[in-house]
Amino acid sequence: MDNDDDLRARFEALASEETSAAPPYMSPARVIRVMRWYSPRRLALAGASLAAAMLMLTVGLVWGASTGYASARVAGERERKAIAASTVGVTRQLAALRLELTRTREGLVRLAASQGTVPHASLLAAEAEVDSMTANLVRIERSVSAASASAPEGPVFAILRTMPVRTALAALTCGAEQSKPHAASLQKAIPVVDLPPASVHTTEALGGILGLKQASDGKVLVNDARRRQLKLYDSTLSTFTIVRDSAPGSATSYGRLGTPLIPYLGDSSLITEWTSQTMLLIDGHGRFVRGVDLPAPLRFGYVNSGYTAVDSKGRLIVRGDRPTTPRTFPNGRPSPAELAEHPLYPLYVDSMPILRADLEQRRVDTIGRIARPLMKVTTERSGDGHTTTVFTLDPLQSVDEFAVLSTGSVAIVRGHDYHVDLLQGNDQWTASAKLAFDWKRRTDDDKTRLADSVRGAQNGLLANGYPFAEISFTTGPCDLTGPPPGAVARGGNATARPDTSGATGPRTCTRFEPNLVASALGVQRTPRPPMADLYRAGGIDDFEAPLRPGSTVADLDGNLWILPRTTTLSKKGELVYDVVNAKGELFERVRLPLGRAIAGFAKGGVVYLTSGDLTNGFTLERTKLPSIAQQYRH
Amino acid sequence: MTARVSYEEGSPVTHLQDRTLHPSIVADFDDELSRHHRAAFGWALACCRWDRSQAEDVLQTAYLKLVEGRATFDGRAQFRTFLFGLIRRTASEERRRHALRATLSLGMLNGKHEGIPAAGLTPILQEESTRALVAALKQLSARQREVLHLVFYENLTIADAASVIGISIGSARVHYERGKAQLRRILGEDGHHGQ
Repeated sequence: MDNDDDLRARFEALASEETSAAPPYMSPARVIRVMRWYSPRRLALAGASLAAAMLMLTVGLVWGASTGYASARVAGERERKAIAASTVGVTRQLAALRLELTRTREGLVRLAASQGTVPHASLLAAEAEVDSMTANLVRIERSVSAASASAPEGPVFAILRTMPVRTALAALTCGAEQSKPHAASLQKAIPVVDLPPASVHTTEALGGILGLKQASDGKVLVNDARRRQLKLYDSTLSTFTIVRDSAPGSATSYGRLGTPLIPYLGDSSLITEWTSQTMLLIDGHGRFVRGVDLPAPLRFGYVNSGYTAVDSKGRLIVRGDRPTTPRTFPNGRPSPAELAEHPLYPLYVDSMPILRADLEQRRVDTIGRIARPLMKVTTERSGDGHTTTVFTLDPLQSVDEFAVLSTGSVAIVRGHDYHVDLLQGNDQWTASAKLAFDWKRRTDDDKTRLADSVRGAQNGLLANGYPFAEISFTTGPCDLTGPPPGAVARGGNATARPDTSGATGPRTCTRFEPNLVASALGVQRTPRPPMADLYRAGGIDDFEAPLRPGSTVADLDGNLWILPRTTTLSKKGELVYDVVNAKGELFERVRLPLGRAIAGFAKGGVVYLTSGDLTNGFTLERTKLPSIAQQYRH
Repeated sequence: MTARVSYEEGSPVTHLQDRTLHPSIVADFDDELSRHHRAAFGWALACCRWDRSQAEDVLQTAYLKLVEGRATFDGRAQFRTFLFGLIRRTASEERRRHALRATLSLGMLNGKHEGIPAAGLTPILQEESTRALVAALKQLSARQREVLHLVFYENLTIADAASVIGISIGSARVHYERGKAQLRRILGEDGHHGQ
């Protein structure tokens, strides 16, 4: 145990040192009291810290918001002062301008009082100019007043003081949204120009105009397709000479079928010649220059049956044939029932190609497609041995239109959203923004009503010659006469082609009638017997289609004229065209005189109009867009 | 407020049926704890490997456990034995908690290791012999160190030491003998090297 005593002595020394350094005893009750006090104090401190944080946040928020108010207030005051200063300056200038106009008007009155010194017409023209300037002045003053009224009157964000922050932010956001111009206001912002009445017009009635061309010397070559005459009018449209006549047997014979006149490069034009299935190039005076043979892939019927134009390089832009696909049946071969319901006719697709024919390189390209939903291909045999086949367009779906601008660009107006695709010189398509249009949504009830009444509507259209028919063929004995009465604005016409198959027996003829008629012309087509099995195959669009076939035409100033199906700008039934420039921008609307339709254009805003009817014939008129419309034109 | 206090063999036996602290009970524990406070502190130092700050926390926590009723003295052993056992368990809990915190806070990556801080013993152990004894005790196993500390330092019997540690008397005796031999050998080697 001696060793144990040694260890015990060591441990006692250790205990002696450690116990001497031991902390004083603290009663656990005191510790508990401290802890009990510490917990509420900790909670109080946490609460106080939270309160302090909230206080600081509130102070910061209010301070920051007040600073924001102050900054916005200062900015608003500056903006208001700037607007006010500029408004005052503009108002002064307008007042000075109004004073000058008043003096000018007084001068005009003084001149009118001194009779005989100035021609009366000049005085009237000057007065019209002064009136126009006064109207512009009033419009500018109204705009300035509106701008000044919209300027902030007080502190910009004063409203923030009376509403919570979230509501204020929502109000600001919604305000920014509301500040965007509405489509309707955009539509109203497009100027509407009234085309003035014609200054000159023809004295003799025409049968039906199918194209015209104004030469550089002012003479006008007019194609009266119904009477099969080419007339060359002087610049006043008062006198004319017949350069091609319907009388057969001469070098200047028109031919026995009406055909469109296609404006070509310069003063020249193209006109189709049915007998040789070629085209004739004629100069501005209607004289024959040379024959033009079409490239092999391009059918002659394409050029003669629809809208055909020429781009800046002399290439023909023409609508091609509707493509077909073979009809398929579930079992490969049709059953008798299927054959009765679906004859072995091919299926026609809903789009048609736009072809570009290079007459020099003899090449034909497809440059685009346009939508032409087909409703039904109907074949019906009549009692006199004629069989008529009608390719019926669907009137309840949107179609596309195309035209060639004078700049050489090909424009396709898309009916589903009313925008323009432009094919520029670099062969690149560019899409414009959607054009302003007063869309009308069809409700479900509207769709049901249309679907129920489509047959009756179709019968009614057939009775009027059915302008929505794409094309129709009538085959039968060769007692078919020439073209039906009327004319078309730019498209083809009724023609007859003899059966050249060489077969013996009774000769049969096929007459096809491309119905690309601008209904605005009031042209009446040949009534057709009601076809009982007309029906619709496609759906009904949610919105009423903005276009109808044959509703676009290009002027010679690089603009595209589109005639929408509906408009609210027509006062008494006038036609109102949407005019789109070469950039695809709708920049003005032109309201035609009552009872007039467009027959053609010339450079410098010259518009040729037609008026009249089938019974009394048509009159060709010429007018010009007013100067206020000219300054908008590029 | 239903504390029932009884005394057996001069030691307070407390059955706390609720956590309410009665002033009389606190007063009784104060007497006992103040009496064993220095010994308890020494034992806490040993349990905390002579980390003074940790030993003070463990000691205070053990006191609180006792007063708040989280630890119940049932009177089957002496109060001192019970208090030492409580301090040992509390030290173990603190050690595990510290290890867990170090693991969760990635303190292990800092290269720190448990041991006597450099400044931990300096104020307490001034003598060279006591430092050598502590250094030797550190080289023993925990059980050996605890048995030797309770027997030689706290003057407990081996049976009481076994009760504090929570092992059988036989095991405590084995640890006592082996620890004593090991400690002598260490202290002898140190003395040899010191000579």
